[in-house]
Amino acid sequence: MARLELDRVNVWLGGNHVLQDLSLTVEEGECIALLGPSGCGKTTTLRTVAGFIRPDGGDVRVGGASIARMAPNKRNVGIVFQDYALFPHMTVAENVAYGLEMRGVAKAEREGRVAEALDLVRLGDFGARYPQQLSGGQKQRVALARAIVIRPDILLLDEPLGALDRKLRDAMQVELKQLQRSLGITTIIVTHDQEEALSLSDRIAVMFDGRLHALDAPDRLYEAPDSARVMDFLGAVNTLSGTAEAAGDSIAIACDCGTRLSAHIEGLRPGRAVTLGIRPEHIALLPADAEAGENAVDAQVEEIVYKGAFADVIALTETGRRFHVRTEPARLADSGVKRDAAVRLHLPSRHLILVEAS
Amino acid sequence: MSERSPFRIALAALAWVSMAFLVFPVILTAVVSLNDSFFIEFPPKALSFRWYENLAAIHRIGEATAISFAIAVAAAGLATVLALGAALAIARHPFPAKPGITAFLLSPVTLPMVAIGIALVQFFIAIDAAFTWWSLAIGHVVLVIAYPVRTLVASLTLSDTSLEDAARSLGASRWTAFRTVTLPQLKPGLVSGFLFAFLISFDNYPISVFLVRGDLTTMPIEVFNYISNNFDPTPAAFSTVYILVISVVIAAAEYRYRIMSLSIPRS
Amino acid sequence: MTATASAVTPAAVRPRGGRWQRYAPAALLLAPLMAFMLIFYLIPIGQMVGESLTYWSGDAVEDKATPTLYQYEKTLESSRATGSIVRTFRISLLSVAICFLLSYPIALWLLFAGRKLRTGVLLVVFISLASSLIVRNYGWLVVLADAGPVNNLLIALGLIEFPLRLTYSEGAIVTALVHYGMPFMILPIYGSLLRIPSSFWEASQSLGATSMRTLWRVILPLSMPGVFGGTMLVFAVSMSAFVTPLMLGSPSTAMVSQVAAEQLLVQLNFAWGSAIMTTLTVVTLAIVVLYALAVRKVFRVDV
Repeated sequence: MARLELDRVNVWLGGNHVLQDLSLTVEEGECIALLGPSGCGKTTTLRTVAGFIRPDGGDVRVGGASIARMAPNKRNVGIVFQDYALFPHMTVAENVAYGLEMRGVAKAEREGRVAEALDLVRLGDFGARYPQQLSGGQKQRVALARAIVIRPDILLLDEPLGALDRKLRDAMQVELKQLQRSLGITTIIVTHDQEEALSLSDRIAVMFDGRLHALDAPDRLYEAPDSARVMDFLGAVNTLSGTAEAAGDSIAIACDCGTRLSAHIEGLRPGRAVTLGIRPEHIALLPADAEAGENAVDAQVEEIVYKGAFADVIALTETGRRFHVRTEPARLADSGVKRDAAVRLHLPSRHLILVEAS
Repeated sequence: MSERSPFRIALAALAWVSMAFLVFPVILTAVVSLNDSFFIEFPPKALSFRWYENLAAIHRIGEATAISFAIAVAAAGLATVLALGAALAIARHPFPAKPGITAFLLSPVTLPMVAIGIALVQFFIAIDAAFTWWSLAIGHVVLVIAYPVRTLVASLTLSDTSLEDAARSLGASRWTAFRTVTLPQLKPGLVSGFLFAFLISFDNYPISVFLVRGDLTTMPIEVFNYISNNFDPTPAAFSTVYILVISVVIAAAEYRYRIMSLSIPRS
Repeated sequence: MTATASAVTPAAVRPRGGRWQRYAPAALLLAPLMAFMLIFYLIPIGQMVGESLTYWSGDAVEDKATPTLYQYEKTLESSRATGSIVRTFRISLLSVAICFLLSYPIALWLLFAGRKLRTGVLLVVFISLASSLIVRNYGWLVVLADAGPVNNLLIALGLIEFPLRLTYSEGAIVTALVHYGMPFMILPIYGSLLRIPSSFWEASQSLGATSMRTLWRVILPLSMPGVFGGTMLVFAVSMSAFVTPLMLGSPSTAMVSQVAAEQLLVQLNFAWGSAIMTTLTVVTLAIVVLYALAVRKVFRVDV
């Protein structure tokens, strides 16, 4: 367990500058998720920490000591691979014991630690089985046991839940988070699944084009992203543009949705062009005859998409702006919202995100 | 593991030594074929093309080559046609004892060739058809049948059945769909199956030696006889020509049909 | 079937057609080749086995009606036959072992090689595979000749004074069989190495294993299907070798196929020749089956 520092790491692969001046510190015991679209360099970052890629510039330090030039088998890094990479010709116990064996741990101690690790992932009775005899979730847990039994300084998880079905993924998310927290291993999770990143990590590092774009706690990143790109990438969002106008203690923004929105944003001077965002679940859907309070926009329902736990409503304003509203299906029925009906949208000012001022 | 790790360097060194072993005799033969000396000698003393001019000295070489060529075309052609049906059945249709029947069709490659030769000559003698052109050709079909069966099953397994379904849904009859969609996909399998069948037949000695007599002879038999009775480097010239022709054929087939990836067994 | 009944169970929704309907396409497609193989392969092989069970001592027309193991007893009693069987087995084992040691590094190296190098090496391997056995054996006659490069190199190095007789020996046969077998060994091993995900290499290394230990503990066991395929093929090819010992051996290094062919082509003793070949075939198949069972048990792979 140790603090991991990536210090201005640069990696070139096949003529592409895949990691550009990447600096990132993962505190001792912290769990960071690397999130980004495919090709953003998150897997390269993981492979650089693991030692499968040598950085062309910069340094990788664990507990202050550089490991950038160290062979993968000399680093004390545990990895859970996307396809688990469980050796099919070895039993579960042999798989878990492999890393200990390579470290020359005596047989008696090895057996104890293997049993302990398997108990930890609740597979105590599965030691004699072969990987082919396990379910997806069980394989995932064996892979985890194999990675943590060596007591790694750093734990790397590559799309750890990507191969599991939805239900199992939700269960494993909780389990994984509890395990990581109780062991206190410095952890990096690579994922392209936002939900996984939001639920598993202490902080999320958003990467685009080989660069780090944002690094913050999941809730802060979701609620108050500081760039349009991050806001756009993390979850669905309605993006609006407009111009700031002075109006009392809050600021009014003349918006392309045909109305004036008031927002509590400090330090914004009148006359500036701004980009605003609002999450679909933060827009309230009101009947057309509801009282027209602050930040109300009139629109017509274009489409309703039922999604089970929630429903997505697409509404079009007279100015031609489309709004994406997420609501509970029960509410739709209550308020009589249906296709082509006129509705009033309420955009609460506390949920307006200002991401760009130019 | 980085490119310059000791493991990778040692591996590359071992691999190059093994490759040298594989290529060494061929290069040596080519060098010797250009040596003026009457005996096999290395290093060579003087350059000469006399052994290439002497190729005609191999007894009935022209005639034997023509027979071998015709037999190989006939055997490979018949084997490929027969194999296509069987491969379609194996790859696309259910039938009982499939592994057993498949193994049976592939078994001639693992059986000693001399056993096949001995069995066939006795069979053809019994039906009074021994030592004829067509009995030799039939023997060669047995010899080569496994190659087209294997490559066609491999390429049928790789080919996409949904394409044929798509063609059928667009109004093509079963036969038209097969001809216009499946068959073009099978081309690499057909080409490499035929090619290897042809080459195996063209080169065969152990089966042919039992099935030829009198006027009926093949190129490998005549070349073998020449090597057994003469010590001059004429066979080196023959070998060099043979390897050059094969190299061109294989390279062309790979360039045009990508036959290699199909012939790498993925077990 | 009445009209009412067919309305209740129309042909289209019957759970499954008759056996014949179900297997008809396969049967029609398989029929031509199966008929061909039955007539020109299975029957002749059966006849050869039948012939091997007849009593025929070479000097007179004997009773051929009752099957007898006479020819097999004769095979066991003949020191030339048993000697050739032992020799063939020894040569084959040696060839397989050396061939494996030379081929595995090439296959593994191909896995890491760049695209151009890999295509080039595979082309060389395929050209080897496709080129004539006689031509390749002749290459070894050249290399191992009295005035050939090996002898001249040894003389130049001062290791020997006079050329060694390298050809017409068991060593020459093994060398040529290894050379002949290499493409058969390289391709299946390479094929099975291709199927091992690269994450297995990385997992092993991240757990602390060196490349060498990864190879030994993970990669080699997982490439066993290819290793089995290659070694089995080279073993079978070596056991039935005929042209190679004819070209590079001497009468004192005769292999089984040669001894049997001699009986047929020279002595015209079909019965004994058939018995020797049947023995070779059965022994080879038995060894291959035992080998397959052993590999299956030890490495837990389907072969």
